[in-house]
Amino acid sequence: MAKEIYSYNNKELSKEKLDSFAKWIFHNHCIKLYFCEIKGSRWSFYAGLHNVIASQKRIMITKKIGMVAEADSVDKKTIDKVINIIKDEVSKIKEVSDVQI
Amino acid sequence: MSMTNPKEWAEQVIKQEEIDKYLINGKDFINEETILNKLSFNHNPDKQRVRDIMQKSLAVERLEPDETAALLNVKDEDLWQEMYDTAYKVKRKVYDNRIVFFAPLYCSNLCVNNCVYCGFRKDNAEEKRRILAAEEIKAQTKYVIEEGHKRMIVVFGEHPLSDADYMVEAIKAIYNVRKKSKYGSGYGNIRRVNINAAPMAIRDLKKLWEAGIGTYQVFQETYHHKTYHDLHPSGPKSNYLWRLYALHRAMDAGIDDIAIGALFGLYDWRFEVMGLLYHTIDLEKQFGIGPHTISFPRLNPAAGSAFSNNSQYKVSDDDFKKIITVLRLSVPYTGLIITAREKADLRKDVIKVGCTQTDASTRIGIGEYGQEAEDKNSQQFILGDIRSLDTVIREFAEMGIITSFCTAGYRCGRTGDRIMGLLKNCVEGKFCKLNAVLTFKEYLNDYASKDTRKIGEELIMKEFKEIKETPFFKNHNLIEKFEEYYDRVSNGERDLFL
Repeated sequence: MAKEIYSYNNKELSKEKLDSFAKWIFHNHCIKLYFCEIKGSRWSFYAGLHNVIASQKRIMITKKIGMVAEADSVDKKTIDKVINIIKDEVSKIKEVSDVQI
Repeated sequence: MSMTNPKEWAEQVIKQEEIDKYLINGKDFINEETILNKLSFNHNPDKQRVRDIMQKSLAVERLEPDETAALLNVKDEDLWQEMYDTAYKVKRKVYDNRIVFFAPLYCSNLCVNNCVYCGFRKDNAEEKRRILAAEEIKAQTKYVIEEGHKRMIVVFGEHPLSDADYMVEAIKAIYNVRKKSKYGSGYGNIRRVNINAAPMAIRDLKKLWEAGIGTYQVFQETYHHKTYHDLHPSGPKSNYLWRLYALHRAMDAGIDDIAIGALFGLYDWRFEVMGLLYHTIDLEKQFGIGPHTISFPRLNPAAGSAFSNNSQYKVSDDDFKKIITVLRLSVPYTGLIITAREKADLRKDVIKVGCTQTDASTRIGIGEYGQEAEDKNSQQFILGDIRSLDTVIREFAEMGIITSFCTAGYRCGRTGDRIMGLLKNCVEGKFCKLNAVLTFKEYLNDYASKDTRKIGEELIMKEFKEIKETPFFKNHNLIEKFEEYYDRVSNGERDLFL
Protein backbone atom coordinates (compact mmCIF):
# COMPACT_ATOMS: atom_id res chain seq x y z
CA MET A 1 0.00 0.00 0.00
CA ALA A 2 1.20 3.46 -0.81
CA LYS A 3 2.48 5.65 1.95
CA GLU A 4 -0.15 8.19 2.90
CA ILE A 5 0.89 11.64 1.79
CA TYR A 6 -2.05 13.54 3.08
CA SER A 7 -4.02 14.07 6.17
CA TYR A 8 -7.77 14.06 5.96
CA ASN A 9 -7.77 16.28 8.99
CA ASN A 10 -5.52 18.92 7.45
CA LYS A 11 -7.11 18.56 4.02
CA GLU A 12 -4.00 19.78 2.35
CA LEU A 13 -0.88 18.50 0.69
CA SER A 14 1.96 19.78 2.81
CA LYS A 15 5.56 20.14 1.77
CA GLU A 16 6.61 17.85 4.57
CA LYS A 17 4.30 15.09 3.38
CA LEU A 18 5.48 15.40 -0.20
CA ASP A 19 9.10 15.39 0.97
CA SER A 20 8.37 12.27 2.92
CA PHE A 21 6.57 10.66 0.00
CA ALA A 22 9.45 11.41 -2.37
CA LYS A 23 11.81 9.68 0.06
CA TRP A 24 9.47 6.73 0.29
CA ILE A 25 9.30 6.41 -3.50
CA PHE A 26 13.08 6.52 -3.72
CA HIS A 27 13.49 3.96 -0.97
CA ASN A 28 10.97 1.55 -2.48
CA HIS A 29 11.26 2.17 -6.22
CA CYS A 30 14.69 3.81 -6.68
CA ILE A 31 13.16 6.79 -8.44
CA LYS A 32 14.39 10.24 -7.50
CA LEU A 33 11.68 12.84 -7.86
CA TYR A 34 10.33 16.17 -6.74
CA PHE A 35 7.03 17.96 -6.95
CA CYS A 36 6.29 21.27 -8.61
CA GLU A 37 3.64 23.87 -8.20
CA ILE A 38 2.21 24.67 -11.65
CA LYS A 39 1.42 28.29 -12.48
CA GLY A 40 0.63 28.67 -16.16
CA SER A 41 3.79 27.58 -18.01
CA ARG A 42 5.82 27.75 -14.85
CA TRP A 43 6.72 24.68 -12.81
CA SER A 44 8.24 25.82 -9.53
CA PHE A 45 9.98 23.41 -7.22
CA TYR A 46 7.68 22.74 -4.29
CA ALA A 47 8.85 19.67 -2.39
CA GLY A 48 10.72 16.41 -2.74
CA LEU A 49 14.32 15.41 -3.26
CA HIS A 50 16.88 18.11 -3.89
CA ASN A 51 19.45 15.80 -5.44
CA VAL A 52 17.56 15.13 -8.67
CA ILE A 53 20.06 15.98 -11.37
CA ALA A 54 18.55 14.89 -14.66
CA SER A 55 14.91 15.85 -14.86
CA GLN A 56 13.94 13.28 -17.45
CA LYS A 57 10.25 12.74 -16.77
CA ARG A 58 7.80 15.57 -16.31
CA ILE A 59 4.29 14.52 -15.47
CA MET A 60 1.31 16.69 -14.71
CA ILE A 61 -0.58 15.03 -11.88
CA THR A 62 -3.29 17.63 -11.45
CA LYS A 63 -3.68 21.10 -12.90
CA LYS A 64 -1.77 22.43 -9.90
CA ILE A 65 0.76 19.72 -9.17
CA GLY A 66 3.47 18.28 -11.37
CA MET A 67 6.12 15.69 -10.78
CA VAL A 68 9.64 15.69 -12.16
CA ALA A 69 11.66 12.50 -11.95
CA GLU A 70 15.12 11.27 -12.75
CA ALA A 71 13.85 8.03 -14.04
CA ASP A 72 15.38 7.16 -17.35
CA SER A 73 17.10 4.02 -16.13
CA VAL A 74 13.98 2.71 -14.41
CA ASP A 75 11.69 0.45 -16.39
CA LYS A 76 8.41 1.85 -17.67
CA LYS A 77 6.32 -0.55 -15.58
CA THR A 78 7.82 0.79 -12.37
CA ILE A 79 7.39 4.39 -13.47
CA ASP A 80 3.76 3.79 -14.35
CA LYS A 81 3.23 2.12 -11.00
CA VAL A 82 4.69 5.08 -9.13
CA ILE A 83 2.66 7.55 -11.17
CA ASN A 84 -0.48 5.63 -10.39
CA ILE A 85 0.36 5.62 -6.69
CA ILE A 86 0.85 9.39 -6.74
CA LYS A 87 -2.28 10.05 -8.76
CA ASP A 88 -4.26 7.81 -6.50
CA GLU A 89 -3.06 9.62 -3.42
CA VAL A 90 -3.69 13.04 -4.90
CA SER A 91 -7.16 12.04 -6.07
CA LYS A 92 -8.01 11.03 -2.50
CA ILE A 93 -7.18 14.50 -1.37
CA LYS A 94 -9.24 16.03 -4.13
CA GLU A 95 -12.18 13.97 -2.95
CA VAL A 96 -11.95 15.76 0.37
CA SER A 97 -11.20 19.27 -0.83
CA ASP A 98 -9.44 21.14 -3.59
CA VAL A 99 -5.74 20.72 -3.21
CA GLN A 100 -4.13 23.96 -2.21
CA ILE A 101 -0.39 23.89 -2.44
CA MET B 1 -7.84 47.42 -16.23
CA SER B 2 -8.51 50.13 -13.66
CA MET B 3 -10.27 53.36 -14.62
CA THR B 4 -9.08 55.19 -11.52
CA ASN B 5 -7.77 58.71 -11.81
CA PRO B 6 -3.96 58.37 -12.17
CA LYS B 7 -3.21 60.83 -9.37
CA GLU B 8 -5.57 59.11 -6.93
CA TRP B 9 -4.29 55.73 -8.03
CA ALA B 10 -0.67 56.73 -7.52
CA GLU B 11 -1.42 57.91 -3.98
CA GLN B 12 -2.66 54.49 -2.89
CA VAL B 13 0.09 52.36 -4.44
CA ILE B 14 2.44 52.25 -1.48
CA LYS B 15 1.65 50.00 1.46
CA GLN B 16 3.89 51.12 4.30
CA GLU B 17 3.49 47.83 6.17
CA GLU B 18 4.97 46.06 3.12
CA ILE B 19 8.11 48.10 3.57
CA ASP B 20 8.42 48.06 7.34
CA LYS B 21 8.30 44.27 7.59
CA TYR B 22 11.63 43.95 5.79
CA LEU B 23 13.57 46.62 7.64
CA ILE B 24 16.08 45.35 10.16
CA ASN B 25 16.08 47.42 13.35
CA GLY B 26 14.14 50.01 11.39
CA LYS B 27 16.88 50.44 8.79
CA ASP B 28 17.30 49.43 5.18
CA PHE B 29 20.30 47.44 3.96
CA ILE B 30 22.04 50.28 2.17
CA ASN B 31 24.23 51.90 4.78
CA GLU B 32 26.04 54.58 2.79
CA GLU B 33 28.60 55.26 5.47
CA THR B 34 29.53 51.57 5.58
CA ILE B 35 29.80 51.37 1.79
CA LEU B 36 31.97 54.45 1.57
CA ASN B 37 34.15 53.21 4.45
CA LYS B 38 34.65 49.87 2.75
CA LEU B 39 35.57 51.52 -0.53
CA SER B 40 38.01 53.72 1.36
CA PHE B 41 39.42 51.06 3.70
CA ASN B 42 40.12 48.65 0.82
CA HIS B 43 41.98 51.26 -1.15
CA ASN B 44 44.96 50.03 -3.19
CA PRO B 45 44.74 46.29 -2.39
CA ASP B 46 47.90 44.23 -2.87
CA LYS B 47 48.10 41.79 -5.75
CA GLN B 48 48.11 38.66 -3.63
CA ARG B 49 44.90 39.66 -1.86
CA VAL B 50 43.20 40.32 -5.18
CA ARG B 51 44.37 36.95 -6.48
CA ASP B 52 43.06 35.24 -3.35
CA ILE B 53 39.71 36.91 -3.89
CA MET B 54 39.67 35.69 -7.48
CA GLN B 55 40.25 32.15 -6.22
CA LYS B 56 37.15 32.49 -4.09
CA SER B 57 35.19 33.54 -7.19
CA LEU B 58 36.53 30.56 -9.06
CA ALA B 59 35.23 28.39 -6.23
CA VAL B 60 31.79 29.89 -7.05
CA GLU B 61 31.44 31.63 -3.71
CA ARG B 62 29.82 35.01 -3.32
CA LEU B 63 32.23 37.70 -2.23
CA GLU B 64 31.86 39.74 0.94
CA PRO B 65 31.55 43.53 0.63
CA ASP B 66 35.18 44.11 1.68
CA GLU B 67 36.34 41.79 -1.07
CA THR B 68 34.23 43.44 -3.74
CA ALA B 69 35.42 46.84 -2.51
CA ALA B 70 39.00 45.66 -2.92
CA LEU B 71 38.36 44.59 -6.53
CA LEU B 72 36.73 47.91 -7.28
CA ASN B 73 39.87 49.66 -6.05
CA VAL B 74 42.36 47.87 -8.29
CA LYS B 75 44.41 50.40 -10.27
CA ASP B 76 46.96 48.13 -11.94
CA GLU B 77 45.80 47.45 -15.52
CA ASP B 78 47.72 44.17 -15.65
CA LEU B 79 45.81 43.01 -12.61
CA TRP B 80 42.57 44.07 -14.28
CA GLN B 81 43.53 41.84 -17.20
CA GLU B 82 43.88 38.94 -14.76
CA MET B 83 40.46 39.81 -13.42
CA TYR B 84 38.96 39.84 -16.93
CA ASP B 85 40.47 36.42 -17.59
CA THR B 86 39.22 35.06 -14.28
CA ALA B 87 35.72 36.45 -14.85
CA TYR B 88 35.67 34.61 -18.16
CA LYS B 89 36.74 31.39 -16.43
CA VAL B 90 34.05 31.81 -13.78
CA LYS B 91 31.45 32.33 -16.47
CA ARG B 92 32.58 29.22 -18.35
CA LYS B 93 32.59 27.18 -15.16
CA VAL B 94 29.08 28.14 -14.08
CA TYR B 95 27.31 28.80 -17.39
CA ASP B 96 29.61 27.34 -20.02
CA ASN B 97 29.92 29.09 -23.39
CA ARG B 98 26.27 29.83 -23.93
CA ILE B 99 24.35 33.07 -24.08
CA VAL B 100 20.59 33.26 -23.70
CA PHE B 101 18.67 35.60 -25.97
CA PHE B 102 15.47 37.45 -25.22
CA ALA B 103 13.40 40.21 -26.78
CA PRO B 104 11.94 43.16 -24.92
CA LEU B 105 8.37 44.20 -25.57
CA TYR B 106 7.34 47.65 -24.41
CA CYS B 107 3.58 47.54 -23.85
CA SER B 108 2.92 50.98 -22.45
CA ASN B 109 4.67 54.30 -21.90
CA LEU B 110 1.97 55.85 -19.74
CA CYS B 111 3.58 56.72 -16.44
CA VAL B 112 2.70 58.51 -13.22
CA ASN B 113 6.36 59.08 -12.30
CA ASN B 114 8.73 61.84 -13.26
CA CYS B 115 12.21 60.29 -13.38
CA VAL B 116 14.53 63.05 -14.53
CA TYR B 117 16.53 60.81 -16.90
CA CYS B 118 13.63 58.93 -18.53
CA GLY B 119 11.80 59.59 -21.77
CA PHE B 120 8.61 58.06 -20.33
CA ARG B 121 8.37 60.55 -17.46
CA LYS B 122 4.98 62.13 -16.91
CA ASP B 123 6.02 65.69 -17.71
CA ASN B 124 7.81 64.85 -20.98
CA ALA B 125 5.47 66.49 -23.46
CA GLU B 126 7.52 65.17 -26.40
CA GLU B 127 6.59 61.59 -25.59
CA LYS B 128 3.76 60.12 -27.64
CA ARG B 129 1.72 58.09 -25.15
CA ARG B 130 0.43 54.70 -26.07
CA ILE B 131 -0.76 51.47 -24.50
CA LEU B 132 -1.10 48.27 -26.47
CA ALA B 133 -4.40 46.43 -26.55
CA ALA B 134 -4.35 42.63 -26.23
CA GLU B 135 -4.62 42.17 -29.99
CA GLU B 136 -1.72 44.56 -30.55
CA ILE B 137 0.36 42.66 -27.99
CA LYS B 138 -0.36 39.46 -29.91
CA ALA B 139 0.59 41.13 -33.19
CA GLN B 140 3.85 42.39 -31.69
CA THR B 141 4.55 38.95 -30.27
CA LYS B 142 4.18 37.45 -33.74
CA TYR B 143 6.92 39.74 -35.02
CA VAL B 144 9.16 38.70 -32.16
CA ILE B 145 8.48 35.02 -32.78
CA GLU B 146 9.20 35.47 -36.49
CA GLU B 147 12.72 36.50 -35.55
CA GLY B 148 13.15 33.22 -33.70
CA HIS B 149 12.83 34.38 -30.11
CA LYS B 150 11.42 32.16 -27.37
CA ARG B 151 11.77 34.45 -24.37
CA MET B 152 10.45 37.94 -23.74
CA ILE B 153 10.81 40.64 -21.17
CA VAL B 154 7.68 42.75 -21.16
CA VAL B 155 8.04 46.33 -19.97
CA PHE B 156 5.32 48.55 -18.52
CA GLY B 157 5.20 52.13 -17.32
CA GLU B 158 3.60 52.67 -13.91
CA HIS B 159 0.02 53.72 -14.50
CA PRO B 160 -3.49 52.54 -13.54
CA LEU B 161 -4.14 51.56 -17.17
CA SER B 162 -1.13 49.23 -17.09
CA ASP B 163 -1.75 47.77 -13.63
CA ALA B 164 -1.28 44.16 -12.54
CA ASP B 165 -4.54 43.06 -14.18
CA TYR B 166 -3.38 44.49 -17.50
CA MET B 167 -0.04 42.72 -17.07
CA VAL B 168 -1.80 39.41 -16.46
CA GLU B 169 -3.77 39.88 -19.68
CA ALA B 170 -0.53 40.70 -21.50
CA ILE B 171 1.17 37.56 -20.18
CA LYS B 172 -1.79 35.41 -21.23
CA ALA B 173 -1.96 37.06 -24.66
CA ILE B 174 1.73 36.40 -25.30
CA TYR B 175 1.65 32.78 -24.17
CA ASN B 176 -1.30 32.15 -26.48
CA VAL B 177 0.46 33.24 -29.68
CA ARG B 178 1.73 30.60 -32.07
CA LYS B 179 3.24 31.50 -35.41
CA LYS B 180 4.39 29.28 -38.22
CA SER B 181 8.16 29.20 -38.41
CA LYS B 182 10.03 30.87 -41.26
CA TYR B 183 11.30 27.53 -42.61
CA GLY B 184 9.96 24.02 -42.18
CA SER B 185 6.49 23.15 -41.00
CA GLY B 186 6.80 23.91 -37.31
CA TYR B 187 5.46 26.67 -35.09
CA GLY B 188 7.22 29.17 -32.91
CA ASN B 189 5.97 30.51 -29.61
CA ILE B 190 7.14 32.41 -26.55
CA ARG B 191 8.00 29.97 -23.79
CA ARG B 192 8.97 32.33 -21.00
CA VAL B 193 7.55 35.77 -20.25
CA ASN B 194 9.54 37.91 -17.84
CA ILE B 195 8.23 41.20 -16.53
CA ASN B 196 9.94 44.54 -15.94
CA ALA B 197 7.47 46.67 -14.05
CA ALA B 198 7.13 49.05 -11.17
CA PRO B 199 7.13 47.80 -7.58
CA MET B 200 3.79 46.37 -6.54
CA ALA B 201 1.99 45.24 -3.43
CA ILE B 202 2.11 41.55 -2.58
CA ARG B 203 -1.54 41.13 -3.56
CA ASP B 204 -0.79 42.31 -7.13
CA LEU B 205 2.42 40.32 -7.36
CA LYS B 206 0.44 37.18 -6.58
CA LYS B 207 -1.63 37.86 -9.70
CA LEU B 208 1.53 37.79 -11.82
CA TRP B 209 2.62 34.63 -10.06
CA GLU B 210 -0.67 32.90 -10.79
CA ALA B 211 -0.38 33.92 -14.45
CA GLY B 212 2.95 32.08 -14.80
CA ILE B 213 5.45 34.93 -14.79
CA GLY B 214 9.06 34.01 -15.52
CA THR B 215 11.31 36.50 -13.79
CA TYR B 216 10.15 39.72 -12.13
CA GLN B 217 12.64 42.50 -12.70
CA VAL B 218 12.89 45.81 -10.87
CA PHE B 219 15.93 48.06 -11.08
CA GLN B 220 16.70 50.28 -8.13
CA GLU B 221 18.25 52.75 -10.63
CA THR B 222 20.56 54.18 -7.94
CA TYR B 223 21.22 52.88 -4.44
CA HIS B 224 22.36 56.30 -3.26
CA HIS B 225 19.52 57.74 -1.18
CA LYS B 226 19.97 61.43 -1.93
CA THR B 227 20.59 60.94 -5.63
CA TYR B 228 17.53 58.70 -5.77
CA HIS B 229 15.37 61.36 -4.18
CA ASP B 230 16.74 64.09 -6.45
CA LEU B 231 16.12 62.10 -9.63
CA HIS B 232 12.68 60.75 -8.73
CA PRO B 233 10.84 63.83 -7.58
CA SER B 234 7.23 62.59 -7.65
CA GLY B 235 4.96 59.61 -8.00
CA PRO B 236 5.24 56.26 -6.21
CA LYS B 237 8.76 55.90 -7.55
CA SER B 238 9.88 58.77 -5.35
CA ASN B 239 9.68 56.32 -2.42
CA TYR B 240 13.16 54.75 -2.25
CA LEU B 241 12.20 52.02 0.20
CA TRP B 242 9.08 50.94 -1.70
CA ARG B 243 11.35 50.21 -4.64
CA LEU B 244 14.20 48.76 -2.57
CA TYR B 245 11.92 46.05 -1.17
CA ALA B 246 9.96 45.36 -4.37
CA LEU B 247 11.70 42.04 -4.83
CA HIS B 248 11.35 41.06 -1.19
CA ARG B 249 7.61 41.40 -1.70
CA ALA B 250 7.85 39.36 -4.89
CA MET B 251 9.48 36.57 -2.90
CA ASP B 252 6.67 36.73 -0.37
CA ALA B 253 4.18 36.52 -3.25
CA GLY B 254 5.83 33.29 -4.39
CA ILE B 255 7.87 34.69 -7.30
CA ASP B 256 11.22 33.12 -6.63
CA ASP B 257 12.94 34.23 -9.85
CA ILE B 258 13.70 37.88 -9.38
CA ALA B 259 16.10 40.29 -11.04
CA ILE B 260 17.86 43.38 -9.78
CA GLY B 261 19.72 46.14 -11.54
CA ALA B 262 21.08 49.65 -11.38
CA LEU B 263 21.16 52.35 -14.02
CA PHE B 264 24.84 53.21 -14.19
CA GLY B 265 25.52 56.87 -14.74
CA LEU B 266 23.23 58.29 -12.09
CA TYR B 267 25.82 58.05 -9.31
CA ASP B 268 29.35 56.72 -8.72
CA TRP B 269 29.65 53.31 -10.35
CA ARG B 270 31.69 51.77 -7.56
CA PHE B 271 28.99 52.68 -5.05
CA GLU B 272 26.30 51.15 -7.28
CA VAL B 273 28.19 47.86 -7.58
CA MET B 274 28.36 47.74 -3.79
CA GLY B 275 24.62 48.50 -3.67
CA LEU B 276 23.87 45.56 -5.98
CA LEU B 277 25.99 43.30 -3.79
CA TYR B 278 24.22 44.41 -0.61
CA HIS B 279 20.87 43.89 -2.33
CA THR B 280 21.93 40.34 -3.19
CA ILE B 281 23.12 39.70 0.35
CA ASP B 282 19.90 40.96 1.92
CA LEU B 283 17.75 38.78 -0.35
CA GLU B 284 19.92 35.78 0.48
CA LYS B 285 19.72 36.61 4.18
CA GLN B 286 15.95 37.08 4.26
CA PHE B 287 14.85 34.44 1.73
CA GLY B 288 17.81 32.15 1.12
CA ILE B 289 17.80 33.08 -2.59
CA GLY B 290 19.60 35.86 -4.36
CA PRO B 291 18.64 37.42 -7.68
CA HIS B 292 18.31 35.28 -10.78
CA THR B 293 19.97 38.02 -12.82
CA ILE B 294 21.66 41.37 -12.40
CA SER B 295 21.38 44.12 -15.01
CA PHE B 296 23.70 47.07 -15.37
CA PRO B 297 22.31 49.35 -18.08
CA ARG B 298 24.20 52.56 -18.70
CA LEU B 299 22.46 55.88 -18.88
CA ASN B 300 21.79 56.58 -22.55
CA PRO B 301 20.48 59.74 -24.16
CA ALA B 302 16.69 59.94 -23.96
CA ALA B 303 14.47 62.28 -25.97
CA GLY B 304 13.36 65.20 -23.82
CA SER B 305 15.85 64.52 -21.00
CA ALA B 306 18.79 66.92 -20.72
CA PHE B 307 20.03 65.03 -17.66
CA SER B 308 20.54 61.87 -19.70
CA ASN B 309 23.12 63.72 -21.79
CA ASN B 310 24.85 65.63 -19.03
CA SER B 311 25.24 63.43 -15.97
CA GLN B 312 28.62 63.83 -14.25
CA TYR B 313 28.62 60.10 -13.42
CA LYS B 314 28.49 58.78 -16.97
CA VAL B 315 30.40 55.51 -17.22
CA SER B 316 33.18 55.11 -19.79
CA ASP B 317 33.51 51.96 -21.88
CA ASP B 318 36.58 50.89 -19.87
CA ASP B 319 34.78 51.32 -16.56
CA PHE B 320 31.75 49.52 -17.95
CA LYS B 321 33.88 46.45 -18.58
CA LYS B 322 35.19 46.71 -15.02
CA ILE B 323 31.65 46.85 -13.63
CA ILE B 324 30.70 43.63 -15.40
CA THR B 325 33.93 41.96 -14.33
CA VAL B 326 33.50 42.81 -10.66
CA LEU B 327 29.87 41.72 -10.71
CA ARG B 328 30.81 38.40 -12.30
CA LEU B 329 33.50 37.82 -9.67
CA SER B 330 31.31 39.01 -6.78
CA VAL B 331 28.23 36.91 -7.53
CA PRO B 332 29.54 34.05 -9.67
CA TYR B 333 26.27 32.12 -9.78
CA THR B 334 23.97 34.93 -10.91
CA GLY B 335 23.13 35.72 -14.51
CA LEU B 336 24.33 39.02 -15.97
CA ILE B 337 22.33 40.80 -18.64
CA ILE B 338 23.82 43.13 -21.24
CA THR B 339 21.37 44.76 -23.58
CA ALA B 340 21.18 46.37 -26.99
CA ARG B 341 21.59 49.74 -25.30
CA GLU B 342 25.28 49.07 -25.89
CA LYS B 343 26.99 49.40 -29.25
CA ALA B 344 27.85 46.21 -31.13
CA ASP B 345 31.64 46.42 -30.72
CA LEU B 346 31.48 47.02 -27.00
CA ARG B 347 28.96 44.24 -26.47
CA LYS B 348 31.22 41.89 -28.39
CA ASP B 349 34.12 42.78 -26.12
CA VAL B 350 32.44 42.74 -22.72
CA ILE B 351 30.32 39.68 -23.32
CA LYS B 352 33.47 37.68 -22.69
CA VAL B 353 33.87 38.84 -19.10
CA GLY B 354 30.75 37.15 -17.90
CA CYS B 355 27.45 38.09 -19.50
CA THR B 356 24.85 35.34 -19.73
CA GLN B 357 21.88 37.00 -21.42
CA THR B 358 21.33 39.58 -24.12
CA ASP B 359 18.78 40.80 -26.63
CA ALA B 360 18.74 41.39 -30.39
CA SER B 361 16.36 42.55 -33.11
CA THR B 362 15.35 44.90 -30.36
CA ARG B 363 12.70 47.60 -30.65
CA ILE B 364 11.81 49.67 -27.62
CA GLY B 365 9.17 51.96 -29.05
CA ILE B 366 5.59 51.04 -28.19
CA GLY B 367 4.29 48.85 -31.01
CA GLU B 368 7.52 49.29 -32.95
CA TYR B 369 8.18 45.70 -33.95
CA GLY B 370 7.45 45.29 -37.62
CA GLN B 371 8.49 48.85 -38.38
CA GLU B 372 11.73 49.78 -40.07
CA ALA B 373 12.43 53.21 -38.66
CA GLU B 374 13.08 54.15 -35.06
CA ASP B 375 10.93 56.91 -33.70
CA LYS B 376 13.11 58.33 -30.95
CA ASN B 377 10.15 60.23 -29.55
CA SER B 378 8.38 57.07 -28.51
CA GLN B 379 11.28 55.39 -26.77
CA GLN B 380 12.51 55.33 -23.20
CA PHE B 381 16.10 55.78 -24.38
CA ILE B 382 18.17 55.34 -27.55
CA LEU B 383 19.54 51.95 -28.58
CA GLY B 384 23.16 51.25 -29.46
CA ASP B 385 22.63 48.07 -31.48
CA ILE B 386 19.59 47.35 -33.62
CA ARG B 387 21.06 44.47 -35.62
CA SER B 388 18.93 41.43 -36.33
CA LEU B 389 18.95 38.39 -34.08
CA ASP B 390 20.39 36.35 -36.95
CA THR B 391 23.33 38.74 -37.36
CA VAL B 392 24.17 38.81 -33.64
CA ILE B 393 23.86 35.05 -33.31
CA ARG B 394 26.22 34.58 -36.24
CA GLU B 395 28.75 36.97 -34.72
CA PHE B 396 28.64 35.12 -31.41
CA ALA B 397 28.90 31.73 -33.13
CA GLU B 398 32.06 32.94 -34.86
CA MET B 399 33.40 33.71 -31.37
CA GLY B 400 32.57 30.17 -30.20
CA ILE B 401 29.56 31.29 -28.16
CA ILE B 402 26.46 29.19 -28.59
CA THR B 403 23.08 30.85 -28.52
CA SER B 404 20.51 29.31 -26.24
CA PHE B 405 16.75 29.76 -26.32
CA CYS B 406 16.42 27.40 -23.41
CA THR B 407 13.51 27.95 -21.05
CA ALA B 408 13.71 24.51 -19.52
CA GLY B 409 14.59 25.37 -15.93
CA TYR B 410 11.45 27.40 -15.47
CA ARG B 411 9.32 24.56 -16.75
CA CYS B 412 10.75 21.67 -14.78
CA GLY B 413 11.24 23.02 -11.29
CA ARG B 414 14.76 24.37 -11.68
CA THR B 415 13.70 27.68 -10.18
CA GLY B 416 14.38 29.70 -7.05
CA ASP B 417 16.68 28.09 -4.49
CA ARG B 418 16.86 24.90 -6.50
CA ILE B 419 18.36 26.57 -9.58
CA MET B 420 20.65 28.58 -7.32
CA GLY B 421 21.91 25.36 -5.76
CA LEU B 422 22.51 23.84 -9.19
CA LEU B 423 24.34 26.97 -10.35
CA LYS B 424 26.54 27.06 -7.26
CA ASN B 425 27.46 23.42 -7.84
CA CYS B 426 28.12 24.09 -11.54
CA VAL B 427 25.43 21.61 -12.56
CA GLU B 428 22.94 23.96 -14.20
CA GLY B 429 25.51 24.97 -16.80
CA LYS B 430 25.67 21.36 -17.91
CA PHE B 431 21.95 21.35 -18.65
CA CYS B 432 22.38 24.73 -20.29
CA LYS B 433 24.81 23.13 -22.69
CA LEU B 434 22.44 20.35 -23.71
CA ASN B 435 19.41 22.57 -23.94
CA ALA B 436 21.39 25.24 -25.75
CA VAL B 437 22.26 22.75 -28.48
CA LEU B 438 18.66 21.55 -28.77
CA THR B 439 17.19 25.05 -28.97
CA PHE B 440 19.97 26.34 -31.20
CA LYS B 441 19.25 23.50 -33.60
CA GLU B 442 15.59 24.53 -33.60
CA TYR B 443 16.60 28.07 -34.43
CA LEU B 444 18.98 27.06 -37.21
CA ASN B 445 16.33 24.92 -38.86
CA ASP B 446 13.41 27.30 -38.38
CA TYR B 447 14.79 30.83 -38.69
CA ALA B 448 18.50 31.11 -39.50
CA SER B 449 20.00 32.51 -42.69
CA LYS B 450 22.19 30.28 -44.80
CA ASP B 451 25.42 31.78 -43.41
CA THR B 452 24.29 31.52 -39.81
CA ARG B 453 23.16 27.96 -40.33
CA LYS B 454 26.56 27.01 -41.68
CA ILE B 455 28.58 28.44 -38.79
CA GLY B 456 25.93 27.28 -36.34
CA GLU B 457 26.10 23.67 -37.50
CA GLU B 458 29.88 23.75 -37.16
CA LEU B 459 29.54 25.02 -33.61
CA ILE B 460 27.03 22.30 -32.78
CA MET B 461 29.48 19.66 -33.97
CA LYS B 462 32.08 21.06 -31.55
CA GLU B 463 29.51 21.04 -28.76
CA PHE B 464 28.67 17.41 -29.49
CA LYS B 465 32.30 16.45 -29.19
CA GLU B 466 32.62 18.26 -25.85
CA ILE B 467 29.41 16.70 -24.53
CA LYS B 468 30.59 13.21 -25.36
CA GLU B 469 33.92 13.86 -23.66
CA THR B 470 32.42 15.33 -20.49
CA PRO B 471 32.17 12.73 -17.70
CA PHE B 472 29.14 14.43 -16.11
CA PHE B 473 26.90 13.58 -19.05
CA LYS B 474 28.06 9.99 -19.18
CA ASN B 475 27.79 9.53 -15.41
CA HIS B 476 24.19 10.70 -15.42
CA ASN B 477 23.19 8.69 -18.49
CA LEU B 478 22.32 11.84 -20.36
CA ILE B 479 24.09 11.32 -23.66
CA GLU B 480 21.69 8.74 -25.07
CA LYS B 481 18.67 10.85 -24.16
CA PHE B 482 20.27 13.98 -25.54
CA GLU B 483 21.10 12.28 -28.85
CA GLU B 484 17.56 10.96 -29.11
CA TYR B 485 16.19 14.46 -28.52
CA TYR B 486 18.63 15.98 -31.00
CA ASP B 487 17.51 13.54 -33.70
CA ARG B 488 13.88 14.27 -32.95
CA VAL B 489 14.48 18.04 -33.11
CA SER B 490 16.36 17.58 -36.39
CA ASN B 491 13.31 15.73 -37.69
CA GLY B 492 10.92 18.52 -36.82
CA GLU B 493 9.82 17.96 -33.22
CA ARG B 494 10.00 21.07 -31.05
CA ASP B 495 10.39 22.05 -27.42
CA LEU B 496 12.21 18.99 -26.16
CA PHE B 497 14.38 19.70 -23.14
CA LEU B 498 16.32 18.09 -20.33
